Amino acid sequence: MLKPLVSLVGISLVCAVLLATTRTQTADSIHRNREAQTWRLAFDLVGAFATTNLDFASDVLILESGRRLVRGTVAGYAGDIGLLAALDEQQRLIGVRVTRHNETPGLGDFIDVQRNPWILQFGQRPLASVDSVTGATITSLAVKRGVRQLLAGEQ
Amino acid sequence: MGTLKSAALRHNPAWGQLLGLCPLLAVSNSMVNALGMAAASSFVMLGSSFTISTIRAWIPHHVRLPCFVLVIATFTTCAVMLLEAFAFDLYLRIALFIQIIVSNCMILGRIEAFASRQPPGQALLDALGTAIGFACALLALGAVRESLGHGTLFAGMELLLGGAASEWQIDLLPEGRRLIVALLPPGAFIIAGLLLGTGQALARSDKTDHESRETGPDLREVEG
Repeated sequence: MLKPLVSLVGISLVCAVLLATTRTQTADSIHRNREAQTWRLAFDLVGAFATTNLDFASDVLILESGRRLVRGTVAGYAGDIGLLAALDEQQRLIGVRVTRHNETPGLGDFIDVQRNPWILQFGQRPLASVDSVTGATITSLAVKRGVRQLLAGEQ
Repeated sequence: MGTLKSAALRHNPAWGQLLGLCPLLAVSNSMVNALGMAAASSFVMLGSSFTISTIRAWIPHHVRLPCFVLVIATFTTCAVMLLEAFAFDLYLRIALFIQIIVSNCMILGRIEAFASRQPPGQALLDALGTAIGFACALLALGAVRESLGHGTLFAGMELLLGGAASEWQIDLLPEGRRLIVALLPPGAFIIAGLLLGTGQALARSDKTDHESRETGPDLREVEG
């Protein structure tokens, strides 16, 4: 009874060391890549903006034009979904982008603007009338809930 | 050498054993995606085969599957992290599929049938053969689907190989003469079927193939 336990614990330890090593070696590059991706999406939402401060203070960034970028996460079907929303001067939603997600390939990945224009509905119509997607109820509702939370936090 | 050849040709994971078809069909819509998937799968295949083979004496028989899956999951997670750190644009395109390498029965199958019973050297050769076989299948499918569907070959290789590769793109078909179905899942099945049939026909006509008379246990029986 004890031997399988010891083996499993031993192998888990070896795996943990391997993972930790890879993680420390890649963490910086991954962080940089994710930030750059967020900025590409932000650029996509509000057009060019002049800031050299590539750091969100408490996940809100107020641009000179009075517009603001808000980011946050919401629990999706498979892990967290990272969201980035842009608001205009009157706190109205301009648009939303998903910065990262782990939703099911082919089913829940429609929230990625590169795969599907679904996310473009946000900002073009009231939040309540954004379509959900059959077969990916949890994913659709999670994104809507996340956007609602981001908006509530700003108002 | 026999191990390598047998793993890559006779037991080719995709065409010989029809294993790992989900990633094969899902990401083979262009050469760069296929190459990324092949590289990640090879990394996981080689790493986990070698590790399992090295520690095989310490793995109790009745908990071997959790151990195998644990090791495979570790290497897959490492592959995802490496990809996200060093090939981010490609990561955005194929990361979701890289993550499901964990459940690729090709890898678990080879580890159960081979790596967990053989010394590390042999296991590495077998893993290399399997990886090469899988890569060939992916690249063949990727080449056909990209040239028919996108009308190009090697488009976007710079995502994986850096700036110099951006000039590799070859344009084959003009807009409007492309076969969009080749890029869609049904097209993947049709083209994979045609390639599989061609391979089988070639193998059958090659009666002098020594591989078919190779002695030793038939590993396919173990894998179900």
